[in-house]
Amino acid sequence: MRTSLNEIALTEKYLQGQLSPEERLVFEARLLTSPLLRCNVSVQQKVYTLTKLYHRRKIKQQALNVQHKLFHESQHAEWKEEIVKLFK
Amino acid sequence: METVMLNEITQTLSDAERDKLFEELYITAFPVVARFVRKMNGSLDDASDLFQDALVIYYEKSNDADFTLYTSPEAYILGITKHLWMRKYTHDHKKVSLDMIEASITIPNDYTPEVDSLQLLKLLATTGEKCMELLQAFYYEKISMKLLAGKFGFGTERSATVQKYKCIEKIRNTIKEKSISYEDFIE
Repeated sequence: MRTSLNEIALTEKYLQGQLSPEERLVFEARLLTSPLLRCNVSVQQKVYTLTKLYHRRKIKQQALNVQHKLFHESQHAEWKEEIVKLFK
Repeated sequence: METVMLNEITQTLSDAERDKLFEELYITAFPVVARFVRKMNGSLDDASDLFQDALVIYYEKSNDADFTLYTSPEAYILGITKHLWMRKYTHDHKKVSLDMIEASITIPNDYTPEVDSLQLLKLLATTGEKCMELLQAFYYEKISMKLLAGKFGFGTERSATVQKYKCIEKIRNTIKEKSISYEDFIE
């Protein structure tokens, strides 16, 4: 793998707490001296955060689709009516 | 066939299983949630939106190995909805009453994202969709590298792994470019 990709793999292990104590020390020493690495680690953390949000949004969309489906199925008409009339 | 295999390996739900779970919860829990929202003078849209968020949170919690449900799923989902309501409408003076179990429910702190995250997410959903799909499948649907390779059309596990890191790099670079205009985002 390219050096930059190896660095990303290493950062992932660091962020997930998977480095050995020695590897961790070395990594943290590099963090102290490299502003670029510090920035990359911080932004990589942001990538995981955004991935989580993306995932949640996908699951929410799935829930919305389920509601649409149920609201249009005749066997659930009574159930739907019960809900809709609450808001009339 | 594929969904069954995925489930065996990952122990998270397949799309079809999640559909089924959500359908069941809609039938049993949504009427209760809708009555609560109505009582608080909310609309049907409010009820739907909050209920969908509650399903996401419930689903996420139920995947957590440490999670124990001390009440029915319906009661738990109503409890989540009450918390979401309070969080969303703090200006509302009507007090939401919580029983003991409901009071113990917590909503993930990061559930309400910051504005810069929402802007980035919007951008990434269009420019980085394939990468976001791959990363969420790996990290949050916990699909194995082997299955991921098949699903996204990479020949080998190895190339799927490389692609995963390339995706992280791509998304990272997009965030960096964009963050020039949000200088405050790197703490």
